[in-house]
Amino acid sequence: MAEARLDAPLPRRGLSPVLLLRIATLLGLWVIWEVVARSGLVFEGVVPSAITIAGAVAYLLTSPGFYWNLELTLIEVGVSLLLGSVAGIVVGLVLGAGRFAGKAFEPYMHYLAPTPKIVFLPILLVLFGVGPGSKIAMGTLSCFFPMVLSVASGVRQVDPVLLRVGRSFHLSLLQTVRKIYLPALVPPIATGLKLGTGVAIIGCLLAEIKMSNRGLGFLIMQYYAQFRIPYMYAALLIAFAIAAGGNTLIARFLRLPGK
Amino acid sequence: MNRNVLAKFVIASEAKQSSLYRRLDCFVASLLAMTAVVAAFAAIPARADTLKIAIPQKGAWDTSFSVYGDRQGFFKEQNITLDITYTEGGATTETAVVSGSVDVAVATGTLGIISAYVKGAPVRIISAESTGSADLYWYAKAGVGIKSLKDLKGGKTIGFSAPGSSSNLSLLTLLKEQNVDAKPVPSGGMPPTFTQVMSGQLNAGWAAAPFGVLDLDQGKIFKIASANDSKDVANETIRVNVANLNTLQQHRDLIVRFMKAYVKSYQWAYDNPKAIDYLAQDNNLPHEAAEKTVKGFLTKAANDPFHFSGIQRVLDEALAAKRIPKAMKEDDVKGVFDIVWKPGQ
Amino acid sequence: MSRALPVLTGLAAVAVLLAIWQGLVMLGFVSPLVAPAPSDIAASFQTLIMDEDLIQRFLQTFAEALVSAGLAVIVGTAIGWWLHAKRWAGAAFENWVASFAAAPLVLLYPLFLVFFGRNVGTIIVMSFLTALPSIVLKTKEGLDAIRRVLIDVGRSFRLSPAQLFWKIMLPAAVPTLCTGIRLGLVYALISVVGIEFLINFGGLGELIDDLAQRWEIPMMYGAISFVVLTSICFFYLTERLERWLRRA
Repeated sequence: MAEARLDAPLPRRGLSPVLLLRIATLLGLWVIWEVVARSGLVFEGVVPSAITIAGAVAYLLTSPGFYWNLELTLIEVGVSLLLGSVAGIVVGLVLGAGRFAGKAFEPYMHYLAPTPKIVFLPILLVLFGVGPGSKIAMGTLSCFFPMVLSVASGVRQVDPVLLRVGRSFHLSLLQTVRKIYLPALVPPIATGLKLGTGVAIIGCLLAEIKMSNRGLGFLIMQYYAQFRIPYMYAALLIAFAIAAGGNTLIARFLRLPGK
Repeated sequence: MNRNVLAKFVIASEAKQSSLYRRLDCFVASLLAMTAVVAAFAAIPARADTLKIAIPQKGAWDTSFSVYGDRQGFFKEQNITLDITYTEGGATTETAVVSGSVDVAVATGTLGIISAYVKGAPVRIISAESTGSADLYWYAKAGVGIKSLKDLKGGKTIGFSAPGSSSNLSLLTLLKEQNVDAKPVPSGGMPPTFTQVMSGQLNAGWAAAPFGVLDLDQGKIFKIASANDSKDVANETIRVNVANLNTLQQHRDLIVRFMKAYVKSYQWAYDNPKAIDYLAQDNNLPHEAAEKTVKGFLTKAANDPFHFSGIQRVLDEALAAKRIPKAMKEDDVKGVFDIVWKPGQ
Repeated sequence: MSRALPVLTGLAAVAVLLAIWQGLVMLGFVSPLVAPAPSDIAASFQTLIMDEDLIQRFLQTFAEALVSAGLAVIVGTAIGWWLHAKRWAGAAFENWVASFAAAPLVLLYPLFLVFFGRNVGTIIVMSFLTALPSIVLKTKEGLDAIRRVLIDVGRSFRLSPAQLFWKIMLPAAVPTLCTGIRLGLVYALISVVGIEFLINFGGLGELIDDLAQRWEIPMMYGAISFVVLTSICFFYLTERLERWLRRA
């Protein structure tokens, strides 16, 4: 007999222990940072006070020049995602659906997927030059592989019953793809997009860092070259926020489990 | 099999995914929109008289002639709009011009360009940029007892910008000439090098005036060597201006006009005190520091665009650095030179 | 024969692609500065090995990645265990670790350069940090997912906590742990090569950047192929490791 008891603990309002713990940890980290910043342990300017960095962040977020750079990076990431995902879906479909093709070629995808894509950067830079083209190429290359692997494995998990139903209806290839494969592939595609966003962002930023004349990565290197370190930290923080935030946003938007 | 039931089954599983499907649709649509915007912009043809130019070491005196001249309207006179990409120097500038993503690269290392040409890169040298390296020097933190290169004996570290750069090669020459077994380290650009020297990670660092001129004055750092200490370096045309071959072949006139404006800018910079103001402004320097840089470090003759010397030495260095496959003579690489215009033409 | 057929087809397709590539370059459709002929790449291996210390650099990169990943495994499983064992810690910090996993740590390299200097330390510390989050998360996930009933059985046999861990919890969590280790190795390798490339120090990453700057494109492709080789090695390593752990 589970009855509500009068001495049952009231529902907690206000700060939960988890939130308190997080705040305490953040405060602790900030204190350590400030101590290091002001201690003179490290050469001046390399670890600026968090307050200076906060000021720099505020400056960036209110300067039109920053948004001019940011918009190019975001466009580069967006286009990379589109190109890489479409290519990844097509190749994934082929590898997953065709058992023979899969056995013949999928191992190569598995080998190439964990390869650091940065090694292809010199080739892409000579091919596409200083502008956004090389960044998009890098981003596309990066997000292609997670999508291929995700889709290929998703295709193999399509319920064979559904496929047999399709065959018994005499569906054409295109119809089979549209009506049976694609709806079943929505979760793997969403997962591929989520993984791809993270690596596309990193790919575009890395390419910008190596050679560019506009973009968030370009801005970071500018500040480093001019040794305006607080602004460099500020730009880095924003880059991190975008990477982590982008991940979470896409996951939430596409209603994927958590991270 | 009951076709109706199974058909409903398929449609039902479709419906379950539909909300996710719609969100996916949304996402893809926005990506498509972005791509359309990009494609639209890319399709706008560049104005025919835009010249894309790569400039290394932003703010440095001799790399900024085009910038100063642009401000004075010299390029506009030639109907040229400059589209500037600043690079950190060395290979990035080369890549920019070899890939064709810029038409002209100024102040790029002769050694790198000739080596690239030998490997088939589509580039041509259109003028000299710097003979000798009057602005390049090495320094140590004040008070650590390092007063000259000799104090770096025994494997102490000394920085240069990047492998193959003029700072790299001048350093190697100086160390060899003065018989010092210090350890050259690629330390990157001038500000990070400065940090490494001041924090003790590097015993000595490189810089090009006007960088560090103030700190030298204030006694924070001590100059231990200049690139031009070596006669060989002083007489070597260490940096050149370069054009992409395709641009040369298809828009030769554009490059000719560029050179006219460039030569005018170079002469103006040395003749007009306003240029020193620009230098001070661009580098956040007090005026006297800028003046000291130009008067004390650099000379008009050194930046003469039409004076080439020491090319054989460049080739020997290239061989030693394994940048060219076999020993070459000046004659072997004369194809890399394409002086599109000289005054009096 | 039918088992080998897919593999042979794959290899044949690669051979055909190489032949087409060779043809395109020889006919002048592709610039050798972008993609040199496969025959030139093959010919460059000798110089690569003799003059450019390809093998040493390969071993260096391999070792750096292994050490970074190894450290990440040791520290990561401990942290993952802690997040699992102390519920409040897990609730508070798991999301942070997940966000950390997506963070482009490689971008911090200029700062690490200044802190640690241009040496192996920088590479290992950064790669260690890059590999850490996935191992932490997978360890916690693996431990969280252990079915209650297994632990109850262990308790009913009055196993000590240590025995409980080694005999029941660890084997149950092994598959997920192995995924974590594989991810850690992959991230470590990506980070190692990336940083070597960016700071011009180290093994294969530095070699690739150096060759690119010297316009030695055939050799550069050769070095890149060795990076792919490294990632294949890690792939097999982790498969072996997983099989060994499952048996134990």
